[in-house]
Amino acid sequence: MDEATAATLRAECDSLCRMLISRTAPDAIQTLYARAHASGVLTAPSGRRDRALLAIAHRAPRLARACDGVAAVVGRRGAFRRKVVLLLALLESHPETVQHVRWAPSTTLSRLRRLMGAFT
Amino acid sequence: MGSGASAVHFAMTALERGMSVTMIDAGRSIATPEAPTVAFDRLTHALPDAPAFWLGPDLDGALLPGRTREYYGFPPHREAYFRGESRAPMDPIGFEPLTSTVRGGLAEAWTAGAFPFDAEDLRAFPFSLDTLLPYYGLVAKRIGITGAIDDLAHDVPVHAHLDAPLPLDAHSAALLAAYTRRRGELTALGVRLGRSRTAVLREGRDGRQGCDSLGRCLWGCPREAIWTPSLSLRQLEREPRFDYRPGWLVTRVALDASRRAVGVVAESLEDGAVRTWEARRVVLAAGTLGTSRIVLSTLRHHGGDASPLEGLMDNRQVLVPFITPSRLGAGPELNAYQYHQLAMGLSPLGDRPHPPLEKHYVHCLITILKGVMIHPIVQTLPVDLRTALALFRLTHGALGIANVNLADTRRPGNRISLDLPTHAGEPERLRIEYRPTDDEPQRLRHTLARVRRALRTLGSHALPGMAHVRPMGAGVHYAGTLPMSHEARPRSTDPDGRLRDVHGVWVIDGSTLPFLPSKNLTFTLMANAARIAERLCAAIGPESAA
Repeated sequence: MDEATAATLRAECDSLCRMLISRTAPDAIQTLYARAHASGVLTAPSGRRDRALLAIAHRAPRLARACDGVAAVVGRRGAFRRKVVLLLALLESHPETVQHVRWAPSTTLSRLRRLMGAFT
Repeated sequence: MGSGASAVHFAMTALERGMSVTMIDAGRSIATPEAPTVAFDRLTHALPDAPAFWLGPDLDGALLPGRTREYYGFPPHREAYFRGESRAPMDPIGFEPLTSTVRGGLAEAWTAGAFPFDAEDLRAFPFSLDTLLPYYGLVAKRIGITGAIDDLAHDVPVHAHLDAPLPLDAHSAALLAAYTRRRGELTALGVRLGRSRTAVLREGRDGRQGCDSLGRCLWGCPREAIWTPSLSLRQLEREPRFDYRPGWLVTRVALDASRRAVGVVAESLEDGAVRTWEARRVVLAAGTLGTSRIVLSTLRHHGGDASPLEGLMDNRQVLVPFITPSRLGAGPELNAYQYHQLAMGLSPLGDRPHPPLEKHYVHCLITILKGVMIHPIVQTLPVDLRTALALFRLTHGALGIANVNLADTRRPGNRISLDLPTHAGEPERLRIEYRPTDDEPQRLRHTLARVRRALRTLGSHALPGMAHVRPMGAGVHYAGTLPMSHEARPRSTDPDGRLRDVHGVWVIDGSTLPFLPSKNLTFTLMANAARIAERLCAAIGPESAA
C-alpha cells in the first residue's frame, strides 16, 4: 500500500470513527482498518454513488452521517456502507473502543429513556 | 461412522451391553475456548487478540452487508464447525447444506434444544411414544436436560430425569408472566408457552461445570455446561472396548458376494490413503447427507440400485425479531444463559381456515437478545449506523427473536443422488435437490400471522419487515432419505434401523425419520440411537458379542 493510499485510509477511518462514536480512531483501529483493505476484505468504491459518498464524507466529515443515512437506504450493499459496517465491527471487537459501541454515554441514554418513557 | 449425537449414544448403549465399538470419524479437533473463566462483558478486554477472536486473523469474519441476513454473528473460529470436506463435494439445488467434519459433528454448534416428539409427531413412525419414552429418559440421565412440567407438556412429553431449569432472565420472565395472565386467551388460539427443554447443566457432573451465566453460549460454553457430543466422546474414549479412529472419511461399506457388510472403505484426511476396516456390523451415523452418500456409493459399487434417495426433509425456519415495549431502556443481561429459555407451541387450528393451511404443530424457540455481535444487527435498520447504534442501545434489553420451525414431509423430487465424476480421480459429487411445497408462502403468511398475534398478546411486537425466512438447509435438521417403516421396500430401514438393501448395516441418524416434526430432532435421534443399540445388542446376544 503506497503512502498516499495509507494517508487516505487514515483520514477516512478517522472521519467514520468520529461519525460512529464521536472519537478519533485509536492507532490500533487505524492499523486494522488499513489491514482490512490490504487483505481484500474491502475494496475501493467502484460505483459513482459510492465514490461520491466517500468523497463527501472525506472532505466534510460532518456530512458523513448523512452519507451513511443515504447509503442505508439506497446503497446498503455498496462499498461505502461496507466500510462503515466493517469499522463498526472493528470498534466493537477492540478493547480500546468496545465500550463506546456497546454502552451509550449516560446522558444520551437517559435522554432517550425519558423520551421513550413518554410513549410507553 | 460419525461421532455426532446419534453415534455417541449408540456407542454408549452398545458398550453398556458388552459390545466393542470402533468409531471411524473425520474428527477434526477444535481449539479450546480462550479465557475460559471470563464472562462476556469482559471478554474483549481479556483476550490476547480480541479482533482476531471476533473477526478472524484476516478480519474476514465481519458480517458485511450482502453477506448474510442472519442476526447472530458467530466468530470465525465457530465457522470451523461447518467446514465441509473437499473429498465429499456437493451440488445443492434449492438447498444450502451445512456439514461438519469436527469431533462431535454438527451438534457441537447446536442451541441445546431437547424436545421429545409426542404421539402425533411419531404417527408415521413404526413405533410409538411408549417405546421411545424410556430412551428419552436414558439420554436425559446421561447428558442432563432441564425443563419444567408446564403448559408446554401439552405438546412436549415429559420424560424421566428432567432437571429443574436455569433461572429465567428478566425479559423471559416478563413474557412468561404475561402468558400466565392471558393463558385462557392464548390457549384458545392454540398457543402454549413454557420453559424450554435444554441440554444444559445447573450443577457440575462428569467433569463438566454447571452454568455460571458467563454469557458465552453462542461461542462455545467454556464450562461445558451445554452438552455437546464431543463431551460424551471424551467419556467414551476412557472405555477399554471403545476405539476411536479420527482422520478418516468413510466412502462406502465393503460387501461380500452375498451383499453382507464385511467392513468399510475410508480415505485418510491427511494423505488420501485408502484403507478398509473390517467390521461385522456397520452402523451409519454420518448425518443424513453423509450417510446417504455412503449408501448410494455402496449400492453403486456393488451393482445395486443407486438411483436418487427420495424424501429429503428439513425444518423451514423463520426468525421473527420482536420487541417488548415494557422492557425499553432496561439494560441487556450480557452475562446470562444466551439460548432460548422459553418455547412456544402453536397447535393446528383444525378447520380454521378451511382447508387448513398448517396441518402440523409449529414450534417456536424464544431467544432473548443478550451478548451478541452488534454490527450484524444494526446494519439491517434503514438509518445511518450512529442512529441505529443509539436505537439498539435503547432497545437491546427489549429485543428477542422467535425462531419459528415448521414441520416437513417426505415428498418425491426432494432427493439426494450421486453424480459420477467428470474426470478420473475426482470424487463422486452429491447432488441435493429440494423444492418447498407450492403452498409454502401461504402457510408461512398464515403461521407468521399467528406468531405475531401471540406475541402481541404477550405484550411484544414483531418488528415490521424484519422477519427472515432462512434458506432451506439452514435449519440443519436433515432427514428422511432412508425412512424406517414396517413395509419391506428397498432403500428404507426396518423399525430397528436395519438397511434393507444389504445385510449387516444399520442407520441411526436423521436419514431414518419418516416425518420431520417441527421440534428439534436431535434429542429424538439420540433416544432412537440408544433404542436401536439395545435392540441390536439383544438380537446379537451376549455370546456373539463376546
